[in-house]
Amino acid sequence: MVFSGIDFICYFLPAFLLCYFTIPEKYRKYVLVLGSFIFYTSGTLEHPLYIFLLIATSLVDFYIGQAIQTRKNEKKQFLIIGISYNLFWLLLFKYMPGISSLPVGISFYTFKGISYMVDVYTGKIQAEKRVLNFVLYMCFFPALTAGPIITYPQFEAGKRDTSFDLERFKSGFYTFITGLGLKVLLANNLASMWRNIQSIGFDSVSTPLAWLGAIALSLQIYFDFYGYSLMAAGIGKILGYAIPKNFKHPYMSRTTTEFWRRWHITLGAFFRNYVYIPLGGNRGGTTKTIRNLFVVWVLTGIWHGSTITFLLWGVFLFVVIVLEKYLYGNFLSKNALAGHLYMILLIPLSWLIFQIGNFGELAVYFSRLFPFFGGEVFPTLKTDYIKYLSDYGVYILLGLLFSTYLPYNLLRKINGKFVGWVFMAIVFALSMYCIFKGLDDPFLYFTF
Amino acid sequence: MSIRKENTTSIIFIILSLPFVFLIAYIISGGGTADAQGPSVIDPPATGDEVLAPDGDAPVESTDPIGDTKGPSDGIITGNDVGTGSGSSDNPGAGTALSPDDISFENCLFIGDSRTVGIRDYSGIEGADFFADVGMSVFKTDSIKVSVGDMGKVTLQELLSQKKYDRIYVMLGINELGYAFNDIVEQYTKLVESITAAQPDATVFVMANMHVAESRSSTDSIYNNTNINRLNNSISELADGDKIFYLDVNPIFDDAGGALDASLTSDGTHIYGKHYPRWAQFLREATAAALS
Repeated sequence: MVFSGIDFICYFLPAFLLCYFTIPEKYRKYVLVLGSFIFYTSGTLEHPLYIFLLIATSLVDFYIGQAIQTRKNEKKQFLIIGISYNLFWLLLFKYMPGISSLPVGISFYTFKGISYMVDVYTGKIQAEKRVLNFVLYMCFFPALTAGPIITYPQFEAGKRDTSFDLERFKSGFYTFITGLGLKVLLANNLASMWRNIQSIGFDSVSTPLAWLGAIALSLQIYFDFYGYSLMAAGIGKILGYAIPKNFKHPYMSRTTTEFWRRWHITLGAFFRNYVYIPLGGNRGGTTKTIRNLFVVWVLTGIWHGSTITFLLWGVFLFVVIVLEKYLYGNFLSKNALAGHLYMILLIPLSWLIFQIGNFGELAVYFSRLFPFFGGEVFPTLKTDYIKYLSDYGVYILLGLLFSTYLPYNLLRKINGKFVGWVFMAIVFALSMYCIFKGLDDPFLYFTF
Repeated sequence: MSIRKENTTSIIFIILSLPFVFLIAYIISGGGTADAQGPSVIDPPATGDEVLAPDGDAPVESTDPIGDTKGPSDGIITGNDVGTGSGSSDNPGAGTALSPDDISFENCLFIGDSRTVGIRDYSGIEGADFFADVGMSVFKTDSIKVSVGDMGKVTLQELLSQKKYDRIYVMLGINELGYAFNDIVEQYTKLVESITAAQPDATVFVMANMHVAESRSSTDSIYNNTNINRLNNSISELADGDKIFYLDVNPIFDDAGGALDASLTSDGTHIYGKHYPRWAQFLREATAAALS
């Protein structure tokens, strides 16, 4: 079940909220855990064992956490067992050849579990005493399937009172609809442009269209994920849980280093706190720092996927970040113009490496982006970019606009005001129209 | 960061990104490649012969029920009937020799869906009109307006009453597959009748719907090759060998199992742009065979 689907918006969410807020407050946790199980199970009906894996992992991590705290002498062994258990399932499903499906959310809840056990081990937090509280942390449905990777202390700090509060309810929906609009109205349409470019084949794409396509892809990846994160944050707010921010206008960055502090923030924080710093961070001299960065970025690459191009993507980011750290990062940070230009060029290129899962295809795409390097030329519709601009130009423009601060500052200003709600009503209606149309005609994005 | 600073950053980003998009595009495309110059909208394939040449594999037997048991005299021409070379001597049934090279598409009209849009944009065919749009179906040709050449937006009936065509190629049917089968065939027949009524002198080529790839066909309850073949079979019955011909490109793009060859497509439904010239060559050969 996804937040932008009919079943979630029209059935699950209303029914769940009704139960949640009509049941006495002290039982709401139970409703939330039960609702999370239903949410997860309904999305994994074809794999009924996945919910058991989620529950088993939650229980294992809970008891390991207690063991780490109570049996001080053996705490290191317990931590190793706990991390190994969690990584075993992740590695098995993610990288084992022949296993094609990944349990929903495993990349996220595995990291949540690991962060919890490490935090107990280092004494940052006390182990949770009540199993229900821990299962709630692991299975909390707004952040279950696509993050953010909330750490246990963040989750505890984010707990608000779960009483019904109209202002919070409204504000949560405001955030939810903002995310829904970004996902359905922007990301889905941009995705359709990218799909069309794939159908034509990269060899037959003109150079202007290749650039437009790379930009559309970058915007699509962003609004897909950012929109989803906003929806999660909105639902969390409604339920009385503050979810940490996962994005802070990443495309406004001037360096890749800055970009990764603003993009998928909770993932970057995980790798920084649980890999980079334990390895010594930047305190062991240049060689060790570069080694630690290499480990972090290779792991970041392969966390995103098991194909070799994700490894390449991770190494690419590593190279860029090292260059920025030791050569030109400072210059870019201080020169807005140069920094933005640099990132506007670099972001689409890095997402192409991320998205195109095959070296041959990637080479063809780059030969279209930079045709002066040669490469075989196939028949090309020279005006293809005009066709695509007229079909998708408006989404690209809106995407660029919504990459900046401006619309969000405006949305904050009109939040709670009549005009704000009129705007959100329109966004909601348009989004629902598109979702319904996609349902009625499953080939809306795939007509012949 | 202060709001003021945020606004400045935002504006810098927008100002930079917009012209940047077009600047890069223009500078690079003007940087000296084959597609940089020339008045023609479509470049001839730089490696045309390679694109058009047969793979070296023997042509695959069509699993299409009509197969090639019938000759072109029935008005049915499949990819198996025509060579993929350029000569016409080996064309079966060639009476008066008409070479595929002689076939021009001036005064021709193509009616179709996204696959025909692909022919328009990537096949290299020049001079023809295209009444084609993504999602086009036999149920829509009466109501939808399509921008055709210099005539602006017209319905099909308006188009047919305004301009006289020598040959009209129709490839429709796949978007319709969700509808009742008999309704599709009935509406298709009506469409062809209305075309021949409006343009009695034109030769009409009804064309088989191209197959989908096996990955799609085996997982899609509607848009699969069983349904496509069934419909194509019905469409083929419209051919009379005189003014109406049936062309089946599928043997050219099929794999051994009679599905669209997976290496020619990314979505299992449309062939890559670079393969359309091969389709154009088939159309030339099949047209030459039909008119000979």
